[in-house]
Amino acid sequence: MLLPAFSAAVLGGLGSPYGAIAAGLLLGVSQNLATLVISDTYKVSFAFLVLIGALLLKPSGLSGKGAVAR
Amino acid sequence: MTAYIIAMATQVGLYALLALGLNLQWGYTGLLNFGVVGFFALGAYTYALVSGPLGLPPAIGFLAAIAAGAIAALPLGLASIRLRVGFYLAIVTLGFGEVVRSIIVNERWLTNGTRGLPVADFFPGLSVSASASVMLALVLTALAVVFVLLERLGRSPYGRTIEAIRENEDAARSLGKPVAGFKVEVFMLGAAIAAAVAAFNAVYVGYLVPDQFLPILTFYVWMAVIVGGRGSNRGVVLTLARANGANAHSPSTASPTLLKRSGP
Repeated sequence: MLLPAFSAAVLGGLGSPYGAIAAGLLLGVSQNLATLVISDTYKVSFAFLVLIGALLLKPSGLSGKGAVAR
Repeated sequence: MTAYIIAMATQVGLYALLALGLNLQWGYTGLLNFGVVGFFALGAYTYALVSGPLGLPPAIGFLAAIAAGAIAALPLGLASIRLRVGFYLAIVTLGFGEVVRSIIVNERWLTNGTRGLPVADFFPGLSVSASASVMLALVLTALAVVFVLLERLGRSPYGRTIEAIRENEDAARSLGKPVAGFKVEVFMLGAAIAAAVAAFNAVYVGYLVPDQFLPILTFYVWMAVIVGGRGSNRGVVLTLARANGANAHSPSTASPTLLKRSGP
């Protein structure tokens, strides 16, 4: 449960609670919808993939308030 | 009593090797690697599959385990270049460890899933006590070799560069050091050490099950490095010797109270 939580936090942007709420919802729903395609043991891996994607594409997160290294 | 001491010493040796690898990554270079258990699991299963179903000799199994660890560390090393805020690298490596375990549990055709894989002894003909002594001798030799090599590495210009990366990466880069290359190398080296240890542990325990590779193992190794002193190889080994003096478990079934009680 730790990894989806971290993924949601990073995806939402580390400075913003509203971002975290939105990202948590988004991640939870998409994680479970993903079980339509992938096996259910890989649910957490899906959260991990989303995390990596977020860190590569938009490290500041949805709300734009996260820490970004220049 | 002798059997107890031998078993205890083997645990200390195995844990110490893991902690030396993490010490290289975090203690010297400042890379937050929370995915030690991922490399550990990869090394163990690679060894088990190469020396079991494929029937190759143990030496090839070791090389395969080391290669698997190093190759798996490559994407994480590349990630460490980009994720300079340490917290992000920690999460990514943590996730890596969990993903490895998910794959092991799920891909039953390869790893037998939760039913587990047996691992053959190095010398099947030996008695239990003789093979325990042989294992201890091998682990202590490996520990001595890795310790000496890492100490030499730490005192060399290479060691000074990675310590500079830990202290102030921008300064190191501005002085012309290829920081990215160093980070990736250190990641791969630490992962290779963890994978080799995993192969030893696989033979020692004799049977691999995914539940031996829970994230808590990463944190046992972290406890050893933090309590032992970041960057000090000797401190790491001595801490483990002291902590494990009270009980005997293998790295797959250790108790966290040992290391907590042995704090400064």
